[in-house]
Amino acid sequence: MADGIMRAAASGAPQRLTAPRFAIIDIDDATWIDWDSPLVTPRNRLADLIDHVARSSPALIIVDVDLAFPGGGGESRLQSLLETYGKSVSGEVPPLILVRSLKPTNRAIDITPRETGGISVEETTNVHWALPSFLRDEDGIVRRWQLATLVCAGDAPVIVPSVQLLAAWLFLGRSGDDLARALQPLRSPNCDSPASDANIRLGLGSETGMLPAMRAEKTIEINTSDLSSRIMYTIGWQADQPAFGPRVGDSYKIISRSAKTVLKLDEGDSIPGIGGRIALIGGTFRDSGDWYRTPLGDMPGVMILINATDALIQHGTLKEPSTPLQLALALTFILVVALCVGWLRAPVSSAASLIAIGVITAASVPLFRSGILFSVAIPALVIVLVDIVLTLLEDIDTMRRLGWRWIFRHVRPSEPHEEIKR
Amino acid sequence: MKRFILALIWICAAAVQPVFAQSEIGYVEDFTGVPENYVVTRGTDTVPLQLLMPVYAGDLIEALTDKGRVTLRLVDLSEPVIWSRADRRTAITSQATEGASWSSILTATMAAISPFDRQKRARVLTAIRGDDGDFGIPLLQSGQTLAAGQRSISLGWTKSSTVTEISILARNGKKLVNRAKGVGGLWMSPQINLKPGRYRIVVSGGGVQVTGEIEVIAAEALPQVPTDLRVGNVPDTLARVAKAAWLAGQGSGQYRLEALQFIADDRSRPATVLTDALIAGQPIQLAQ
Repeated sequence: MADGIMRAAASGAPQRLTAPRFAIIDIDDATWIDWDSPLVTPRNRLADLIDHVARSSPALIIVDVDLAFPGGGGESRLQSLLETYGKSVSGEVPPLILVRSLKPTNRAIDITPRETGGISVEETTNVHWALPSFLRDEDGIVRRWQLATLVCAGDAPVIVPSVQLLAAWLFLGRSGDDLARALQPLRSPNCDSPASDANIRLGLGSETGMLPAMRAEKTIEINTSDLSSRIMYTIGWQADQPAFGPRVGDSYKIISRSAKTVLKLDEGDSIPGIGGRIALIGGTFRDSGDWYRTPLGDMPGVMILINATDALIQHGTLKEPSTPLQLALALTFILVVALCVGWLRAPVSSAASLIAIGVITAASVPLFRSGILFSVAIPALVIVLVDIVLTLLEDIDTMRRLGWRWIFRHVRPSEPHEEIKR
Repeated sequence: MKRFILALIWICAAAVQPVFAQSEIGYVEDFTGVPENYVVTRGTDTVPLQLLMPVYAGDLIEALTDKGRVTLRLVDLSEPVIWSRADRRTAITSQATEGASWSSILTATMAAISPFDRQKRARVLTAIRGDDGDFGIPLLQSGQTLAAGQRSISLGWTKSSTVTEISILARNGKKLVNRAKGVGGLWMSPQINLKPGRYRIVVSGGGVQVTGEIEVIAAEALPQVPTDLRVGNVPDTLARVAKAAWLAGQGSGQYRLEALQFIADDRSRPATVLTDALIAGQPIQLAQ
């Protein structure tokens, strides 16, 4: 049901001017073929892309390329660029978020970051490490994120934020150190102790909500409920498009520039048009292995990061409606179903109730855009149960009146006035 | 009834609206020649042509030469558009439309009732990409010879995801390294005092235990690097890689582990290539 609401809410309607905008520097199929389809992203080309993007004044840069695997060539160029980047004065360069994957350990904290072959960069105010961590359901669809992950690094437990959490945090003007301190309750004492299940609520200091009555403080909640781990997808992937998504002012929310074209720029040149955007360098080429199923269809990993980051910045984590609103919606629904059952025959009342569910689902779309998810699962279950019970009662009455002849389909019970005539 | 139908048509039409002028609708993907051969007019202003610059609805691009071509990527077109001198009086536009707040409900509803008409299927190749194979230590497959001295010993194994336990034992059973943890496919011991004699390296990982025999000899007894590899003006990194490659190719491969010690902590590209080759047990053959 939530997937359906997401698809219904994924409109192209313009967003307010303060909504974040994104730029994808796309390692697409054309780029990959141009690079002779290497197994690992060449590090020297990645360095060039980062350099061009950094000179273009984006709000921040996310490099969605796993730096864990050695090879590809050019490690020293990338290492040199990242070292210089890390030493730059804070504010001179946009924050840079790097990612690397995890590998198993045999300790209680059973994951550790992979070594980044040849790339050794310490965290500074400008350079951060994060995990592009999401959860895939049994049906293969990615619906949930992991906002923070406990890993064993060296011999110490470390909380690593997700890319979307760190990006939202930095975009909203907070510091990486503040986030690290706020996540400390999730840390366990050592690598041989299980992870903490502490609940964390991070206030973002502003409000969200379409209608004044629904405004509430934007918060990011970790471990508080299953709902807080749901990703609020709003934009589907569109291949081969230079710009797509809803409009923000006079531009599209998402623009895409092929990495192959970006690398045609002269050294030291910036990329026009990406100033102020959150820039992501990532691969959408089909052989990347970075494609996933989502409620809005197939999309590359970089697009999942955009949806997740956008959701956190605009709404925080998903919440349930307030108790009074839940009661009001539930009572309205129960009243409608009761009226349908009382006045209409069973099949007709079921159909009318389903229509009522459809209307309530459509009406809950604006709620969803405010970060509130109203579940119609229980009302839907009520309809099914009511239909089963009413049908069963009718069958019992028919069996009582027909006796053994009930087993034949064509035999129908006679009306009471016909029985009197006999 | 007629008013109801007209109202319904009006509501549906309101679901889509054309993109207005002065909206960004694409960018310049490529052009021939130099930017000075083109004039871009935006409203009443002239802007210089730039690679990757955004283009807006209503922009005019004039090529000043007959051979001038500008390649544009525009919204709602999957193929690039070529703009030439003939298009100098044609304003750039887009077929894209802007959705209304509730248009997605219609789209989602229509999509939900037509799942049986068409299905997108993608080819999948059910094979692991980038797999680093089974766990093994080719470096210890045959007896190895190391130089004596106070030193660290590096050791590598395939399947870098395997966590290993490594012990180095002297002939009398004395443990110089006792069950050290190795991760990531490459391990370096602490400083140990290797005296001439025989040793064993025992590595456990991936449910397998491998034992290798090591003979430690005086450093002077190792094959000496020929003078033509000692070129003064070669960077140290390359010199070490050359020395390691030469040593690995000597004898019947008993110096491969010693060769690894020269380059194991070097993250330069030539060193890592040779390190990977030594760990994987690939033959190192020098051209004659």
